[in-house]
Amino acid sequence: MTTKPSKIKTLTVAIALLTAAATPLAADPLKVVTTTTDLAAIAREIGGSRVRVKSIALGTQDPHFVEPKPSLILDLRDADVFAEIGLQLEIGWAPLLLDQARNPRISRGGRGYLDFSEVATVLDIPMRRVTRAEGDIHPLGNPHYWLGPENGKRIAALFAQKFAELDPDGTREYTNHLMEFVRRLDAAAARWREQLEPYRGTPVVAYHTSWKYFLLFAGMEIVGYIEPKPGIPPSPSYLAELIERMRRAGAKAVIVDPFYDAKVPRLVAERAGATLLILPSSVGGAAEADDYISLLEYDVTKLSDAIRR
Amino acid sequence: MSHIPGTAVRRIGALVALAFAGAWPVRPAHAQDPKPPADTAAADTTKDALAREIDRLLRDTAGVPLPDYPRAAPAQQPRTFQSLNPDISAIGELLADLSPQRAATLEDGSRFLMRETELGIQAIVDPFFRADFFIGVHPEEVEVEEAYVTALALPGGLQARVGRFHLPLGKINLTHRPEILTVDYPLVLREYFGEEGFASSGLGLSRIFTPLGFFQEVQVYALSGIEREEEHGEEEGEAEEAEVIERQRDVFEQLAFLGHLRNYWDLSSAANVELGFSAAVGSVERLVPLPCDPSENCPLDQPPPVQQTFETQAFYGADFTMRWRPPQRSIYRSFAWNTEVVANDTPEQLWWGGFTQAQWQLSRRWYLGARFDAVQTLEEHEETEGAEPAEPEWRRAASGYLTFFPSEFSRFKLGVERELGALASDDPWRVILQTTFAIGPHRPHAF
Repeated sequence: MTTKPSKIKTLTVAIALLTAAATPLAADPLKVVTTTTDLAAIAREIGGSRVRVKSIALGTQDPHFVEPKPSLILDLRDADVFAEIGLQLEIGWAPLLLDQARNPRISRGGRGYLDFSEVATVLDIPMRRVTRAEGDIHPLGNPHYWLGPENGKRIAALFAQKFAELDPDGTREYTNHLMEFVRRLDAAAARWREQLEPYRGTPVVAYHTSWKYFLLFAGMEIVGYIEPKPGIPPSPSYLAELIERMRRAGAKAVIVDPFYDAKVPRLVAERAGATLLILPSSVGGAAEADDYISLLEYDVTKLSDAIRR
Repeated sequence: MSHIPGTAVRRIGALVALAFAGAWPVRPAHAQDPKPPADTAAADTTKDALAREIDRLLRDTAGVPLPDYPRAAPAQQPRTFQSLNPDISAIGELLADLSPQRAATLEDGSRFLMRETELGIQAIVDPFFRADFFIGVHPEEVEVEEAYVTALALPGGLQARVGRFHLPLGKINLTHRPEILTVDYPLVLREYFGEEGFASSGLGLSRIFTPLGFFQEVQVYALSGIEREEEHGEEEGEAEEAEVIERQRDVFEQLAFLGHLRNYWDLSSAANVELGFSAAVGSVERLVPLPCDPSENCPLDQPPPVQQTFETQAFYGADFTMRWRPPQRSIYRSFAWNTEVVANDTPEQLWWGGFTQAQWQLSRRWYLGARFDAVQTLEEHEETEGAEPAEPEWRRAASGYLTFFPSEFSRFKLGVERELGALASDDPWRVILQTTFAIGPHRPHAF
């Protein structure tokens, strides 16, 4: 008995379709939504082609103030993993989005929820009662910890752990990516240490406490902030006092995130004889800072160049 | 150079390693699996390698020197509050009437009025629900403005809400009065529902859709009727002093229904628009003055008795909102324009009203806004049973606002308002200074 060629073709197509439909879901990339571009960049390093990553905030945007737009709810509705910085950095918008996402996988306590402040080394944890008299203070600690490379590795490790938990078939890839990322970051950190060593102890000023982790890694001495208190714009009398303090200390640089108005910092830098540095604090904040290591590389290079002048 | 205390990091490392180990799926024993995958051993080795690497990363700094500053490892971080307590917040709103005319325009006739203290209590109930309570403390009353529980994770992408809440008839009605862009709700909401806007008790269900490639949300509500404080043109409290002759409501007179369709588009990373349509239908209580015979049941020194009746009314709304906020300058520049039209379909006629408002952010702390209001109303409310209704007239007003935020938690707003048209009073100008201050973690309103 022979089978007609048309029937064979039909059967072949049917089997191919069935096979495609039966492909395990694990083959689909994990859908990861992060609050910041820094988390997104590290997630891409660890997840590679096994994850599809989207950041809610842009690299040029102040992560404290992001609009919880309905279109973001759609991304979260389908996400397998939601990753946030925590420590109330995203308190004004992330809880609203999560509540409206209708996705228990990524709600707080869900299997796909990640808060990296649980593993990060955190600064400025109040050891006493705090009030809003101290400005828009974060009562659980300074949330800008990703700017310390030590915490970059901790973030990577937790991503690897979570991805392996949700996608066990990819464990080998996640392990390899984690080890490769750590090797590259260690090598870069050693290079940055060497590059910054001559300037250790140099006095500098930053706009906001967001630079504390980076400047302490860089070995700089922070002699003041443009903001008198977190989130509170400076008064003229405060700026006069800051300029005087900078002159006395010999401050070399004023560091500002791209999303702050540079007019006041520029004035302060000019009057104090320092260099104004607009540095990205997140991946994508400058064209050259397109991944986590290149962000820190860019900031280290700009800072050391400014101080060397 | 200081280091994280060794005991702490060991504890974290062990915890994470344990958590990691516990996260692996349980595999069948080899005895029950005669043909284990060939790469089982390799996979185990891979898992072990990842576990070791994670343990090492969380245990020490692996070559990256720790900066020299005092800090605590996560396991040692003190908790500054008991995290299982609900978030408790309070918003205070003080109005100062700076109007030039002799008579003050505030509700109690004074020049300074602590109009509202809003107490918010909000928390996650359990893995399935969150609860929100907002208690409004006013000079002469305390009322539950909103009290509802939201089911966050129903099957089919549904979300449900049960309790008392503000309703999505348009967009501005969802925001509590102390937090809106202006001092008062628009005339149309005040005319239809009273000074506090449209709220009711019941059950709501919502679902998000994307069949056309953009965000759409449908919300439907079953409510315990539509609460109106006054009828068109009726003065507040006018009917309250009269004797009310009540009557029993049937089942349908006890219910109301509302639906809202929300459409949202991102035009760019900075700009977006939203278009919404609403419809509500339900039973509205009306108090109709009875014909009055002074010789019998109607003494001249008392208002005539009123008959409680219920009639079916419908409300239709359309809202349009455009926002612009460039991401890199988001804390300094923004613009929002919101226009809403609401119609009230009563047995007598269709009443129209609406407003348009815009707010421009001048700098980090200063905002400039304006609103134009229009609503159909009756100049004199002299309705009696069987009488022909009077012809409605347009009541109009324009207002401008300058707002200053010392911080995110306090706000001063200077408002200049003017009544327009034939219904304007002899003193059409009103100057109001509103001071709003918030303490505690008040959850922001939905976008």
